Amino acid sequence: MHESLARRSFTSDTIELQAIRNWLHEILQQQACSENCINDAILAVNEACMNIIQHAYYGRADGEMIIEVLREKDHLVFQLTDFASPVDINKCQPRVLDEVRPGGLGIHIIQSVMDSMQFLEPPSNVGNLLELKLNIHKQRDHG
Amino acid sequence: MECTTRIENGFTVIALAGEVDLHYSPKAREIILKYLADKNHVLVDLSEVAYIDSSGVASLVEGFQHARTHDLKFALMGVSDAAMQILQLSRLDKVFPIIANATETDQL
Repeated sequence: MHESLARRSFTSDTIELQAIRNWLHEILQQQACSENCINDAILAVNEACMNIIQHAYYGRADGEMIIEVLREKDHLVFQLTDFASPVDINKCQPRVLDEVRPGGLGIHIIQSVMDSMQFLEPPSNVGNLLELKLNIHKQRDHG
Repeated sequence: MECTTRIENGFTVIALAGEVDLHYSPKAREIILKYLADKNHVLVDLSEVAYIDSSGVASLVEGFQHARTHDLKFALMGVSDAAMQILQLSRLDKVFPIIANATETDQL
């Protein structure tokens, strides 16, 4: 059973990323999460929002992103909805880290810190809906 | 993000501070590449970085690669915990030369 903790709409302007991180920090502090857990969640959601801005809206600043934070027992669930053209899910794969080159690290970072990442059917079949889950009691050895 | 530069031990130190995200990383990239294009050895001071995302890390990788191909020295200095976390997640902590402060430049 999901309990919605917060839901907010942002534009796809890069200036919004700091507001998104601050908003998440405020919500997660109220959920008895460790600071490492909060940092991981913010890192992953920020990377996912960057992917939406860069790869769904192609850098356009006037797109819309809706972020909903939910609680499901020991998990925090983050649902990110955009209204861009559907992305090719097969292209959303982590790259080989042995290659030292700029870019392409976002998916790897998300998968490293979150417990799951999956695309769901978007509402009304418009845009994309990405769901990230994080177990707040999982031992974290970084941060 | 704030950015200041200074000279120490023959290196241009580019000190980034605050949050280096997709909004600010193009500026960080531009500054790093400008000093390298002017044939400066570069240290990027990350001690005051509270947050850096993969776009900020990509700017550092570009600088590192440019320096390597142009026979210049490039290293990270005083890496904050927040910056180290993302370098470790990206396995780049073993790729970049990293020093604690400018007194260690003789190791580079």
